[in-house]
Amino acid sequence: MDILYSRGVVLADDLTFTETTRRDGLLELVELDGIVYTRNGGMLETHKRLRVEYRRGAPYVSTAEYVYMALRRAEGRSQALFRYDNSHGGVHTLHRHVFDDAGSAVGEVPVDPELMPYMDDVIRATAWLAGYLASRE
Amino acid sequence: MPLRRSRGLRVRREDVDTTIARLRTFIDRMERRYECSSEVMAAEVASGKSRDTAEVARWLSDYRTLQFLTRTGDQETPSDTTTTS
Repeated sequence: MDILYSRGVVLADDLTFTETTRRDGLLELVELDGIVYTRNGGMLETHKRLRVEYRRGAPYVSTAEYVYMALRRAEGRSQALFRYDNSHGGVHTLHRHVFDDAGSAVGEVPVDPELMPYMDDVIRATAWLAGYLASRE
Repeated sequence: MPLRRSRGLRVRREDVDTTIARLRTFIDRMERRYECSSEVMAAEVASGKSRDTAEVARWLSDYRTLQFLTRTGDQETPSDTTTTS
């Protein structure tokens, strides 16, 4: 994120990590929520859940839930760009929702969880696509 | 929530009971809005009967997270830190 700020890709954000501890004090869940504002009027609404499991006392962290909703502000309204989520249940159902140039949903594409882009890449894609659509207006 | 225009992470901590209560509040609100239980909505989205909008995706994400926390809380004992699955 620091690099994205320094390169002007990200202009502001209100991302917050919430760490949930079990009754015995061990970390159990990490939530990442908020909006990243990019250049070109892009916005990435982020809702991510990482679970912590303990095997022989060692913590293992894995992402269990994704919702990355990319939007752009255009003519006083928000236009959908794309969305990653696994709303069908389980990381294996991860998919990308595709929207046309007008922001209407046109379909979804399965995403291999192993090939899920890092958040930095999703932010870059949001900024780039917002700029691309703005250039066509 | 204030916008940040510089670097630095915001981190807050809460206990599991607070998180469970927060998730339940949001899930209850969604169930009232859609007049549908989370179980039914999850099944409808999985079968393609209902669309998984961004809001529904967030709802079901929190629903599954609540199930995870409730399940692991039931399994948790003060001396057992070997597994939460």
